[in-house]
Amino acid sequence: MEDISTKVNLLIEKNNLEYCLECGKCSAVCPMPNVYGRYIYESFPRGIIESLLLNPHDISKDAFWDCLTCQECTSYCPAGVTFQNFMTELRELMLDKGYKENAFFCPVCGTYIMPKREFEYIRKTLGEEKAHEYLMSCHKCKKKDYAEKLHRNNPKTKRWENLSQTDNTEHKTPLG
Amino acid sequence: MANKSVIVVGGGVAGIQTSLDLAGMGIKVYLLEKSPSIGGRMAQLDKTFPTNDCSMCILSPKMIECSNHPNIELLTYSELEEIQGEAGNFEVKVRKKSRFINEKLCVGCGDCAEVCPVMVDDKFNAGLNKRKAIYKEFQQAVPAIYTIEKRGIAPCKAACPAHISVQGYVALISQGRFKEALNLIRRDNPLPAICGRACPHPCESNCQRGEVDEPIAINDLKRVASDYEYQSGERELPQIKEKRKERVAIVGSGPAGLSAAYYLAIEGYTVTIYEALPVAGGMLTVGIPSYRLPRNIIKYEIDYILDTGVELKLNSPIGGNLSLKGLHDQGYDAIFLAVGAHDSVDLNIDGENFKGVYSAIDFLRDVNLGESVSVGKRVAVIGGGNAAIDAVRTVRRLGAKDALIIYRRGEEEMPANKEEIEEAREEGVQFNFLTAPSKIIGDRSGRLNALQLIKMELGEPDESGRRRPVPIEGSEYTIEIDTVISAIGQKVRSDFLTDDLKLELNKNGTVKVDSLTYQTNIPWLFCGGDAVSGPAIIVEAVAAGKEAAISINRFIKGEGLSEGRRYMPQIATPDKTNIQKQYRKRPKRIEPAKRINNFDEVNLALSPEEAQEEAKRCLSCGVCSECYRCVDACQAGAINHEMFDTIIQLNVGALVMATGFDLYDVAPLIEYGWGTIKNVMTAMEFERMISASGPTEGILKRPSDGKHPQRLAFIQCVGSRDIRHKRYCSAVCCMHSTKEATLANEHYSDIRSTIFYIDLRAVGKGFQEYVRRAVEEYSVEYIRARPGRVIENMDNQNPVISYEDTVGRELIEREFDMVILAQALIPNESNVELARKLNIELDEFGFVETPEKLTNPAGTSRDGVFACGFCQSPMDVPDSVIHASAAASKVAEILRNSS
Amino acid sequence: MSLRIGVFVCHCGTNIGGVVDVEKVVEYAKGLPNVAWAERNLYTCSENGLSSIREKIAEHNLNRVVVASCTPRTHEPLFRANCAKAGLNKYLFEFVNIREQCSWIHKNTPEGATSKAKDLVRMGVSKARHLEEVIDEYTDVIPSSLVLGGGISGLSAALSLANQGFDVQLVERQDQLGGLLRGINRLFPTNQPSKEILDPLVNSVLTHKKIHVHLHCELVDVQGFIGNFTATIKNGEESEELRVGTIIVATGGNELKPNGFFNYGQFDNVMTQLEFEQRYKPDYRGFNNIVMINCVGIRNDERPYCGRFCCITALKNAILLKEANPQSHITILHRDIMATGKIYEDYYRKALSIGVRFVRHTLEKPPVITGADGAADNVSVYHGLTGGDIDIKSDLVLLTTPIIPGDDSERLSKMMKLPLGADGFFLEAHQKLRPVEFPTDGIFTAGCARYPSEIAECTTQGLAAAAKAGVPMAQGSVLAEALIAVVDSERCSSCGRCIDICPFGASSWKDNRGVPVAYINPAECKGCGLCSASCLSGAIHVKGFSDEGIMDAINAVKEYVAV
Repeated sequence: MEDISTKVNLLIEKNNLEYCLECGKCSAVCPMPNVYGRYIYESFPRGIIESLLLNPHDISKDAFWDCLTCQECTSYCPAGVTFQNFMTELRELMLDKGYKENAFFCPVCGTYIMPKREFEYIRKTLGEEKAHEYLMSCHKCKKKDYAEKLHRNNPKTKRWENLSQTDNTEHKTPLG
Repeated sequence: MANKSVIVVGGGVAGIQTSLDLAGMGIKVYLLEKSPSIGGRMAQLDKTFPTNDCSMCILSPKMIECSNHPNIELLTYSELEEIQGEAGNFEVKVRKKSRFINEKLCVGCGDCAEVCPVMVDDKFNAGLNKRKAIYKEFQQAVPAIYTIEKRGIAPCKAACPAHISVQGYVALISQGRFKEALNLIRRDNPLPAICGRACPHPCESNCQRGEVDEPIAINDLKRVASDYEYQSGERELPQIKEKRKERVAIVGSGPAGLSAAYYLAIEGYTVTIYEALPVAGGMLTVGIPSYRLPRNIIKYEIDYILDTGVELKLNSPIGGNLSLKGLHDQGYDAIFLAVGAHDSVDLNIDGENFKGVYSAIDFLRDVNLGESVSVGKRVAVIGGGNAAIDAVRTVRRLGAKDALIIYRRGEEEMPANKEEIEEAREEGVQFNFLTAPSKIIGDRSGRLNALQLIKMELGEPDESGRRRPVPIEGSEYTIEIDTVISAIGQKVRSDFLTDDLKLELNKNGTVKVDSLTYQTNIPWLFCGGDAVSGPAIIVEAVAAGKEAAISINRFIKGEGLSEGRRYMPQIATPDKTNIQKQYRKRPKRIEPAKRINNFDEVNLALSPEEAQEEAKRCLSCGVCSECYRCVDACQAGAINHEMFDTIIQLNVGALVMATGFDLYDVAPLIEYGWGTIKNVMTAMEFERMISASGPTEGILKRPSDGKHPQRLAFIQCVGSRDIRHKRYCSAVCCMHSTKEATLANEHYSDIRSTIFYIDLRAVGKGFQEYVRRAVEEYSVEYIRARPGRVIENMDNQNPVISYEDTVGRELIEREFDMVILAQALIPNESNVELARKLNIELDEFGFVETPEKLTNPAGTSRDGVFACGFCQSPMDVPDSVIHASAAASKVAEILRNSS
Repeated sequence: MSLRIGVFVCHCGTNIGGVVDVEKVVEYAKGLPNVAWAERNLYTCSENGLSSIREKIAEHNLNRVVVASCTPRTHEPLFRANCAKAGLNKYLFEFVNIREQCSWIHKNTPEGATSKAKDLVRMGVSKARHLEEVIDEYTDVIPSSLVLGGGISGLSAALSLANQGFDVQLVERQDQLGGLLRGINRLFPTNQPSKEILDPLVNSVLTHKKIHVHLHCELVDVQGFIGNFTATIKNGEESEELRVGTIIVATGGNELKPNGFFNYGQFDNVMTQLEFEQRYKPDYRGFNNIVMINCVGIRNDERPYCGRFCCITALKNAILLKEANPQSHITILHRDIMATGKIYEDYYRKALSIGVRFVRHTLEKPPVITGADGAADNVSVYHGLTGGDIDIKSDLVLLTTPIIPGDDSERLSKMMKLPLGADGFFLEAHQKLRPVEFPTDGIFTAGCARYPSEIAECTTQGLAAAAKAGVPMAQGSVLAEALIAVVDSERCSSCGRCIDICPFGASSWKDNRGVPVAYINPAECKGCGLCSASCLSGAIHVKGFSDEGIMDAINAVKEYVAV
């Protein structure tokens, strides 16, 4: 437990969280209400900062998985809190400590992609098909996938040409 | 021994207080202020917290005291140039900027501003309204005198060879003051109606509006002004000065001769014009066709000049028994030679002597003098200048079916006016570019019947910068032709040269003169116009005539000819940002079919209404337009447009800096929408609006629709306490917004204000009570939140604020009628430059550094230099006043103790 | 000598002449009784206009001058000086405002404006008939100043005045100089020991030849007025009279002891910031959980003002405590952090950056301190996140209290007729523009006696008061207001209204053959006219505004109404 709060405090310090003046500008520019349909104080930057300043050891809260890490609050924060970066690093720490139930991972390689709730929202907004195309793998796997496709379509790379004939329609998508 | 005087830089409340304290102690004070009046920011405030005293009512007596105090010398509209020396003994140089108004004579009556036609943004009113270019910053200004704001000479005026105050008459026309506009033009050009039609208007080519969309239709406006007089018949002759006994002869009645005659007649001389031709006007009459310049217009303007008392002798060529020397011997004290350039330049090709080959000069002269000229069916005009276009269009009107322009370069290179080329083309003129005549072919009777032409291509640029045309070998071809008119140039006809006069000429046959004075090598003989310049535009001849008249006047009076005449304008460039595009008005033209068989005027005028609207497009480059109406209006004779800055040397023992603050630009805080959402204002804008002396006289109006607002939102810390902008707290905004909210409710009891704050910094004496009253008596609501965004409700232009109520922990979107931003206050932007001159240190924000803040709160990093008020750190009025007195105390310690 | 009035009507460009028919007004004025000359000037204030007035005074033996023009506010001194230049007593001048009060406001009715201008001129001429010569009086000023209070404000004022070359009598009740600053450990924002500032200052004062320090002394009486005060001070039984030209009141304030707030006094480890500094200087180590409560006893109904720098004191001690023990947990419970201005925002950010926590509390939901055995161990405070109270462990609780008015203020106020504000601090002549002056000439104030002020501000105010006191002393004499109130002792009914109403303390009792009557000290009177207006027996009149003159002016309007 001591270990966690030390690490959290390091992140707090690194990202200037202690400079927070509790002015609420971050919440007022945050797009989360549009995504989740409502405002939940605990999920918003100020709520998270307050909660961690009070209890730096407690990183188990579900509310920590709502932030979209979109950078909006960071770019408007008058106190210089780099909240987006903080959230990214905090989630690494949370995953490291085994808090995984709210996270969505790459089905191919298992890399963390985004919070589950965010993923669900995007899937709902984009539709199943596009969500597959855009989201269903981490960017490394996506690159690998593109590379394969490019090679398949290049007549000069014969080896892959052969492969593509057999594998053309059957290429595994992560959900497939 | 130390010098017992002090210079105070900055005439705001801090500078005023320091000055009064020191002056009261018997110390001589120079109070330096860069703007025209002392008063500073406090003068801009309506009321002051926490007492709600009228700011001006309490400041004004102090300002007056400054101006009346025997120990205070006000140096307003002045800037510090340089400082040397050390504490107790500084040498200071001060630049006293020219107000263009004699400070001793001006009594501040404001008659000048009444007549000034130029409107510029009123900075004192935060740009909410316009003021005149001649102005007093505010009613209670000290000194109570006017200042003319000049940014330099407007480019149009600088470009005009006669330097007419173009911006001036455009400004007058914008207000429908046509008569005044015309009078202004005539100060520098007595031929407004002629130039309004036939001038190639270099002014328009230099018009800065052209860089935004299109130049102002300056020439059309000039014509409207002159037409206005012509049509109304309200002709007003100039005031002739006292009649003088000297006589001046003028040779030639073209634009140069006419102009010289006019300006000399005004000076009181007896002027006689000798004209060789049976008609007056020179090239105006015999060179320019009447469809372009109607004869009645020429007559009208010549009559105007003659009516000033000028005598005109027609059919009186110089040469033979009437020589220049002879005229001088007859008793003319000076002679102005303006014979023009009426000789043609030969084509230098075979067959030039065939019948049917004319020069354009001869051809146009014959046509214009009413002689019958037959041109046949096919006519070729050689050349690309205005004379060529005049000739070819005249030819069309004389019935030629095919009228050709033969020009050796391309259309782009044609020197003729674009409009004229366009009009010629409308009239069916055919253009043959990159073509030159190589031979004229005739029959045995000596009459031409064909023209051999050769194709050209463009080579390397020549000395004129245009690419030199080179013939393409073997590309010759021949066309049938009835008449050839050559329009490739004009030269001076030197009939006036007689043996008894050793007049120096240039190699090309033009007369050699002093470029500034137009004096020839014979002292009493002056020369100008085409005879000096070679063929040039009308307004250059006008300029030459006017300048020669000045020289002749000085020559006769025995004054130095060239003193103070070098024209070195500092050309003004206006701010061209945020100007909405609006294209120029175009006057109508007679349709080609209706104009092709007659010599009626082709171009019509703009209507007076159109002209006014067109003139309003002017960007007022020079701010002051130099229309000189103020000079006429000022009964005290205080105005002088030719005033210069002066440098004053002072010896002082100490310096106090009190430069106050500037307003932080909130446009970069895009989230709050200032500049894009109309109903979002800055605190200073709101302050001026709610001020009884402001542009709305204290009536609150929404900028979008002028409606009375009921819900006001004040956002605090806009740019302050923000590491992206200014990290510090601006110290006065919490109270300032509270005051504005209080006043708004005091003005209109239905107004409800909401103040969004982070920490409500009401720390001064009586401030907490003031806030409490705002809540309890003036219905002001305080919400602890820093709003995220302001967006505009497109239906009603209401600003909508989204914020998190940090106490209630709710996210709220709330609509207001107006939003006021408490912008950050920054140290005066001139501090950086001033600190460099003073060699003192500033902090990272530009405030003056105070090394020993606790023991010497007004000290700086340099001995003998002190700083007080906002230039040292953000503070309100009482703190500034206290700080100012503290600075006075420290100065007194140095100056009183050291003798 | 017969009355010979000259009337000069200003055209003022089009300002007046554009509306009022100035020629007609001049013609009219010529016909008024006693008017020996009337003329129109294009600009009466220009050199042409002024010299014309001077010429006409000589030429026509004018003994009253009336100018009808813009406004006395800007131009009366000019015209008066001009009369004096022509050898006419400057108080024989009368101003008639036909611009602001006529042409400007009646732009659209020029005929009416012209007839009103005539009325105004007639009134002015009527009043001018009763003007009397007044001679300007000067009072000598003793070049010595009495500075009350040996705190930082008084020390700064004393030293500056002495450096300006004046004698200073510095009176301090305590037996050493330094005031409140003595008890303070370190100074914000530099965190340097207060001795570094105080010791050199005290030393300079003690060694300055021009400064006479009176320790352990109390002011018991002040008589006189600007330029010539006699102050009596007492050291035990010994008393001494000091003759001075000016007085600076820099008597400071006290730290509020928060009796009745937050169980103050009940726990040994709950104390005020100043008590903490005095008790633990120079070593702040040894505390692990520190809670500070700001706005104690202040910004409430009883004491609505803000202590101005208490927040900064809390920040300072928090930073010092945290530096002394980086492991400590420090929480500041505040209502607003008043880190106003350029440097304190950074000071606040510094506290934030080293981990000092800030929690807001409200007047309605104050924090609660609990503990046992005379030691506090917990502070609970409402916290919005939890929606309820949170508990904060504490082994030290500091109550941030403000400066309150000095205990001597009320006595001095009564003795010297110096006003106190509702908050008990001395009330300056004008909050904005005369912040260190009293309405009474020659008496000034500085520092916490006026309002809570931090060190730099106290120094600044001390210096400012020194500048103000320096002005009359440098001049050596002061010009008394000429148009002052005078009492006709025979008509005075001894009601005392004028004494109550005079804002400058200029009116007092005087013996008139055994009867107490009002006496107005010409050196103190400002000519405001309050006494004259309130006098029931018509015994007081202000020079230049005689009842006859004003009645005549009013009658001149009546004349018009009658017509």
